[in-house]
Amino acid sequence: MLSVYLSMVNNSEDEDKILYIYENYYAYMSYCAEQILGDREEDVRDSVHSAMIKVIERLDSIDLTDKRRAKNYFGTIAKNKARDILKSKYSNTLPIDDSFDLNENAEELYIGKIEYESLITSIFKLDEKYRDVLMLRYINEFKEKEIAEILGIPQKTVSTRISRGKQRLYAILKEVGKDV
Amino acid sequence: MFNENDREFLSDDLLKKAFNDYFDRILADMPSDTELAKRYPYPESSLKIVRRKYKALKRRRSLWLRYLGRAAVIVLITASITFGLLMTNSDIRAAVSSFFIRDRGNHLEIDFNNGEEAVLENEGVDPETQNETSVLDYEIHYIPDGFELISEEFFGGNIFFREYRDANERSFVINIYDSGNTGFFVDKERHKYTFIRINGYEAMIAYDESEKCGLILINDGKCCIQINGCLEKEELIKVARGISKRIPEEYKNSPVYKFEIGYIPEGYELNEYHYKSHLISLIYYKDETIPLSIKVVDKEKISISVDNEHTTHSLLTVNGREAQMWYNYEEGNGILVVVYDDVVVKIFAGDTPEEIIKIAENIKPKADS
Repeated sequence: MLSVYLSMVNNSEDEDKILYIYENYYAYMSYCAEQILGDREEDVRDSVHSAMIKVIERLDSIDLTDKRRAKNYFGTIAKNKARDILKSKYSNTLPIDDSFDLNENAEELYIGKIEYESLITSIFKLDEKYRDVLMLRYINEFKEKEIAEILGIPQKTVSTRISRGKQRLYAILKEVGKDV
Repeated sequence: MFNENDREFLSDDLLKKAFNDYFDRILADMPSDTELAKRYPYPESSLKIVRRKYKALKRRRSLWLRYLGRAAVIVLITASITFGLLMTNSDIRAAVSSFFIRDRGNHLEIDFNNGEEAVLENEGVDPETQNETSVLDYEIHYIPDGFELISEEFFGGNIFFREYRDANERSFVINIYDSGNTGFFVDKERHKYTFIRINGYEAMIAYDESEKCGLILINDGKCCIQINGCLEKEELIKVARGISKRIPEEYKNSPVYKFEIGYIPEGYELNEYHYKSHLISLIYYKDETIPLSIKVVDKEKISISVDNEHTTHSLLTVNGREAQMWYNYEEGNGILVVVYDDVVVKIFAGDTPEEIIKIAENIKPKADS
């Protein structure tokens, strides 16, 4: 596959960048995809392949200087591609629900003081589709438009997921806070 | 929906901190990169390409492993077409003279701006010799007591290795590379790094105080000199200061190269040198502030200006030759000039008149000339 990726670019600088990403993040992307797909090895490989294609499309904008950010970026793309495969191949077994119950009244859930640790715990409990968007927003500091391009979803959906993700996070936070 | 207070509570700053902390915990719980690499090996077809692409790099890496031993520095020598081309606009570039540094998370990636810019940055470089320098054109003048040379290798036309070891199995290496083909990764978590000036060139020193191991890199624009090993920091610096370019063969017929310097007062360290066909110029410093400049110059190519107003002038005889001294007692420094048949020796020092005279007395024609 690497030869395919290398053939997608026209200069040695980009080739070296691809090689660097491949060498340093191939295993990590595989791991992230496996978290979604389980032991479906072929699907994991397909996810990483699709993720690499996506990465190459955005090669110019990739910042490799911060390894944490790079990991989050490549990992999120790999997980996203893994979910795409789940949606397309196993939609009967794992429905992807993009809706959110807006009936929860966040105003009533207001808590005056909440432990920071509870917030971290809440992030662990947050639905991945919201968490991924919020991580790209707050770790990589991408704009909504960039997140939309990375995840291949409309910008409006990104905006909605950020907004709803925060609402959902707050709702979870309140629940977690009760247990503290 | 949220009210305004809720929005304030879940501020962007708080969420940024929380998501970053969350991610750190995820990463901490993950298998290490090494374990992941074992678990998810490259497909065989890709592996072949990686192998081919990094053939030169891997060969050099293996050499590194031989030479570095337990030295706590990760260093890779890269082919110029690999990491040298990875720099993007968004890379963090820190150009410290000829050092180009990029932050790669736990490591600093360093390579060198080999070319005119580097030469201009280093005032100690002699343009006359610059282009002719090869990795073999250096002399090593200082090796700590008890260390012996155990191997020396020269290969690829641009890499020169020397390894030294003592009876306690401590070792260090001196490596000289063509700057254009060299890059380094330095583990920044374990090493404190700083820049100092050694023999007129910017030098990076990265040192692990707990392990007492470290690395010094000096880039003179053409070659990169690396001293790496488990020595006290001061010893590493001393070794680095003791490495200098050989005097070019074609200069050796010049009258200035028929002189040798036999005495430098205690505490002075060479900071800069210039070798030219008509000139030897050595600049030392004591405590990094007190200068000592020695020049041996072709008699026809020297002009000297002195401050007559604030100095005391004396006529002397040094080594049977006419000499003159201008000493500023208020500032504690002076100039001494000794005139030989073909050359003039000029000394400027922030030292006592007696010491300046002693230095001059020990600059003599070599016995064989």
